[in-house]
Amino acid sequence: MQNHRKLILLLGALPLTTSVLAQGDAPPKPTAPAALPAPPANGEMGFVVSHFAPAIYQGKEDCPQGLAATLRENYLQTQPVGERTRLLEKANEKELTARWTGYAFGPDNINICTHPDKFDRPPQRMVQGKVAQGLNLDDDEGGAAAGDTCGHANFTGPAGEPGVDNQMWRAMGCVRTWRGVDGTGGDIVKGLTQFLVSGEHSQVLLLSGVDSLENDPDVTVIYANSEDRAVVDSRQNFIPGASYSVTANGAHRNVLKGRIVNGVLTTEPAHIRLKQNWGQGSERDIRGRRNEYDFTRARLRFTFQPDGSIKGIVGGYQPIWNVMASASVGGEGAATTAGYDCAAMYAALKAMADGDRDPATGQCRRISSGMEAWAVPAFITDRLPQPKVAQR
Amino acid sequence: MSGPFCHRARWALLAGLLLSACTVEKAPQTAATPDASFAPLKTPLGQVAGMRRLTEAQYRNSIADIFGPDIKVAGRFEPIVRPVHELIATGASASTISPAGLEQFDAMARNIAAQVFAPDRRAQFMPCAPRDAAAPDADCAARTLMPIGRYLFRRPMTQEEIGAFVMMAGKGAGDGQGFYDGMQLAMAAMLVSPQFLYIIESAEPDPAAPGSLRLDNHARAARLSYLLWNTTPNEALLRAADEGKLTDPAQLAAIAQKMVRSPRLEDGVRAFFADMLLFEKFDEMAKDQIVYPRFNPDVASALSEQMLRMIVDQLVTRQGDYRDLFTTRRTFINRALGPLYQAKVSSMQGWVPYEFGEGDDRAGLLGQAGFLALYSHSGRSSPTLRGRAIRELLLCQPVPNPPGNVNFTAVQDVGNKAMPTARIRLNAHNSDPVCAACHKITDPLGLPLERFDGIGAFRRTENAAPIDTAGVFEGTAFQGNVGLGQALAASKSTTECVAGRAFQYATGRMPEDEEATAMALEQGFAADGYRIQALFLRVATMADAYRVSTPPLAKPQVAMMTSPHIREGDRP
Amino acid sequence: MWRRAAAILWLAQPAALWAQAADLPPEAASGEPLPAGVSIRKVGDQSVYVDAHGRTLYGMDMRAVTGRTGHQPLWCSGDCLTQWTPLAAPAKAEVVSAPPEFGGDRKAPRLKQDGADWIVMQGPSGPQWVYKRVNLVFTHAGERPGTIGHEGEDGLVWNSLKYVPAAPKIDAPADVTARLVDGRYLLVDGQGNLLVTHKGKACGTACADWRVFPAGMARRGMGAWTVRPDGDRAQWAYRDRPVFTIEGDDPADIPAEAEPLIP
Repeated sequence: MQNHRKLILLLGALPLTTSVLAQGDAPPKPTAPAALPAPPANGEMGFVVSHFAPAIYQGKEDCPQGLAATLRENYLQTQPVGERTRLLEKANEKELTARWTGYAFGPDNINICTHPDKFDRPPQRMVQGKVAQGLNLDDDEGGAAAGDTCGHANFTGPAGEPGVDNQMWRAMGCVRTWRGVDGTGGDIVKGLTQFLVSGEHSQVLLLSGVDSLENDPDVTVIYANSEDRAVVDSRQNFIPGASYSVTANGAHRNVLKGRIVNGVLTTEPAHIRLKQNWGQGSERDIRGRRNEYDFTRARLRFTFQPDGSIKGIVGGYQPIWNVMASASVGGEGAATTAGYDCAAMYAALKAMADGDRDPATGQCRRISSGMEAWAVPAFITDRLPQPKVAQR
Repeated sequence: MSGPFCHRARWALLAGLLLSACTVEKAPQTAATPDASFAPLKTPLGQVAGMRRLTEAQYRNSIADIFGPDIKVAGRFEPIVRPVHELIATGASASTISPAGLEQFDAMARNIAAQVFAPDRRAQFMPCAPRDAAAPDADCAARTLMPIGRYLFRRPMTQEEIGAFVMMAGKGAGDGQGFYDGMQLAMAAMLVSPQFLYIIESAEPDPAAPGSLRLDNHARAARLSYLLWNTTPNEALLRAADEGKLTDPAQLAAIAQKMVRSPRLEDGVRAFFADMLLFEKFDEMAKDQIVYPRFNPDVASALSEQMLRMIVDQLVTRQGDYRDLFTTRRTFINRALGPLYQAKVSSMQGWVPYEFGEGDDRAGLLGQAGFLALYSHSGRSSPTLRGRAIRELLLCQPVPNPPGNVNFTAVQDVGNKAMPTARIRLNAHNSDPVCAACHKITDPLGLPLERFDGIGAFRRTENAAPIDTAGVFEGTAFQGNVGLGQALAASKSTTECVAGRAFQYATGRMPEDEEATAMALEQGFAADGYRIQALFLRVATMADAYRVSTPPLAKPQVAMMTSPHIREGDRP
Repeated sequence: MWRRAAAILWLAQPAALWAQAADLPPEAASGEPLPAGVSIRKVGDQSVYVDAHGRTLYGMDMRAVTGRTGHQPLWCSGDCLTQWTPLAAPAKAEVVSAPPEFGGDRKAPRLKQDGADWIVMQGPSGPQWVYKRVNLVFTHAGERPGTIGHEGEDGLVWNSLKYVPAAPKIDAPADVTARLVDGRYLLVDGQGNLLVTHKGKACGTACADWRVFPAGMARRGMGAWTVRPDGDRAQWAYRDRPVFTIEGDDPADIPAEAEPLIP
């Protein structure tokens, strides 16, 4: 189509700070909050989220058979050994490329990333380890189906806390662009941070009624998007003390009830919706693909840091399609350039889904997820949603 | 450059510069009309008493006022060199344009002319249509160019000038080009003419003082307009000049009075302080990104604007006392500057008023991050640079340059734990009596600002050591920026300085008897309650400012001519 | 070959063709004829497209369901169709292939009506109308005419189809354009600031502080526009009344003594 432009986003190429991750051989110990800042005089604390990405834990036992295979590798597996050997010869590289990229397409030219549900492929390799980051979302330390959940295996948190629900990590934790290597998160971390920097996913937190950063039984948390671009320094780090306004879109202004215990802020379960537009590219104003972070039974757990920032986890159940939205939006490019086997990914997510069970089919449609989030102090101007004019 | 277009452009340029030397055909006589736009200059051109190059802002404002703000000016301006310890306004009196700078002006001129005569716009600038768009039409060209020329040259064009530009339009329309190509060419030539690029101060015999000269009416119109509004004279002012009103002191005063009351005074005040405070240095300000990673381009570009907004608010909007500029707690802030001031900025866009809390050391012009950052090194604050800037810019007290063989090691070693603060480092440096002599002048004014780092952000300590902000000025000891601001506000040197600067800014020269003029101005300034409006009115109307003492300059085209051999027939 | 690339986003179409969702300003209608039975109706303070029964038409924004399905035009299937009814197109209407980024065939030929306001695509129940290329048109079951009860639902998937009249052709100088503000077109300057003039016959003292809409002194005006060269700066006048600007395009900021310029 003549008006179409193709913008390729190579998230791996973005110059960003590296997140330091929890690693299997050195589980971080919970540290007592020492020398926390004084509580604010007016009880209000604002933050802008500087990091929001799948919570990565690189356990040594996680992927014993290796990382999730690429589309190319999976294609080769479909070939007899002799043919596989022949295709791997350097002289036949062109033929192999043509064949494995062809493997990304199905009938009517549909591609494997836009229509992963139309391809019948086995699930990708999943996390086998027992430890992962996340929160206990179903208030249950076992893994049996209950209420509208499906049966699942719980993780133990890096600090030893039981009952961690993070099936998203189980399904996706062996994908190279998620998992990363040696303490460095995958490219998804950099990519999602870039969305925060560019303002496309700007998130802010506004705490009110804070009397103590150590213990306070009653704190209100507004967790919302902002339309403002991030104020960052020359190294793309968020600058503390910048001002942001809460979005005018009331759907993306989540009001949560929380409490602080021993320097850790937690919130009660709620439905959290945040924007997640996919439009990153050379032109920031392109608002093409819109999507949402959509977490049900979601909660926050943030620890106050001595430098005034907060670090923690946002957990909830999100639609399985949302987990692979980036790959799905990427379409054939995600398959043939990034090499995703989206059908294998979809099959894994579907198999691991543990929330929002469809009473008719028994299939769960959402998956427990743990997102790692950091936020730095900021001045947040709240904006109450416009009163909805009754038009019925 | 090559090709016919470039030849044409060069021809236009040279022809523009050489106009008065051309032998020209008579301009077509337009029907007698009361509209001054269509009349050539009645009197002969006066003697050239001075020429001041338009600044970039003046050029842009002039184009916007003459053609409309939708006509864009795109290009780089060759900077006017600032004479040491003086204003750009005085530098403009001696500013030449290099060949490269002229090429820039030429490109801008062609671009402006192309916009004006673009098909969808040209009807708005023309009182007539050509008989044939493919051929020259001298009558229509003249009727179009005469009013435009009057605005560009700030006086009616002479009969010769009209003839030359009309001829140029005619020639430009030949060779398969059309009428409008010729018009573009002629107008571009007007825009690179010294009559436009320079404010030409022409003089006439002063009837009140036989044997001496005074600025003539049109020169006075330009003086008033660029001084007070930083732009070209408007229609009312040009008409007053046409009618000879501006050599009458009473009428001049009435007109100037009206002008200083206009909101457009803001532009004049901005331009004056940007000149006085060396704002051109903001363009080259660089900060070490390792030391100050949060000094991003948004912050850099907001700093000067913040200072100007504060100045305009205090002096123009509120018509406040100049001395209070050093103590006011009112300023403006935007989102980019929020983190630097650790202030909440509710408005998502633009600037909002902001008032520092009582007891905050931020008050006054010197507490603005712009001043503090500009007079710092790239990776550290500098009490010496700040003190020197205060002395030179705000008190008009030049400080000598350091001798060439000074050892700066002690002051530059900001990581030295044994000498954690700038005061301690400077003390060590000043053990050399040669250094101490000058630092005694600067440092007592800069050290009180040490609680602000090299980008103007507040700090309580330096290298974990407490910062001593004691200072002394004219025998009075004080603490911190607030104390410094109060000391400056109380000093006659402060008000004398700005009054003297205003005179230089208006005239482009130092007063003959500098001290006496400054003192007289200061006394008037004091009587007016130190209102900037009154000061500008005073310098805009004082007789001395319109007196021409220096011998007249040679004709501009002689000064500008690149080759004496080129004549109008020498078209390449 | 494997590359270190986490995602590749195919971004298509400039924003203009895409606009309609609740968080974007609605696009002006092209002025082309409406599908049979579709008309425009005022609901509250906005005008929306309605079906033959006067019921509000909603667009299912295909962009908003990207990542929730493989083939966006068919997203509202099954249970969804008990709530939402596609606006069916005539059986013989020429069907445009869904754009490839929404699961369509990338090799399908592009039809001339592809860029029109109203096109027909294969929907969950057969050929159905699509507005502005990305909004599959539906009505909501049981919704009474004259109401908009489902605006922005489900993460901006469902958005009422707002009617925005086509912009008037204007003959004006200095980058003046017409902008839709609160349902009517008003004139704005090149920066998008509203142009205003005084109410009544004369301006009085009220407009002394207003910001003039500057013209060049050398300008001569055009059509209903003239130049007044005598003030501090030359000023445009429209139909013989001086023009001023206010900052921004919010009519609430217009002074009481002023009124906006209407093309």
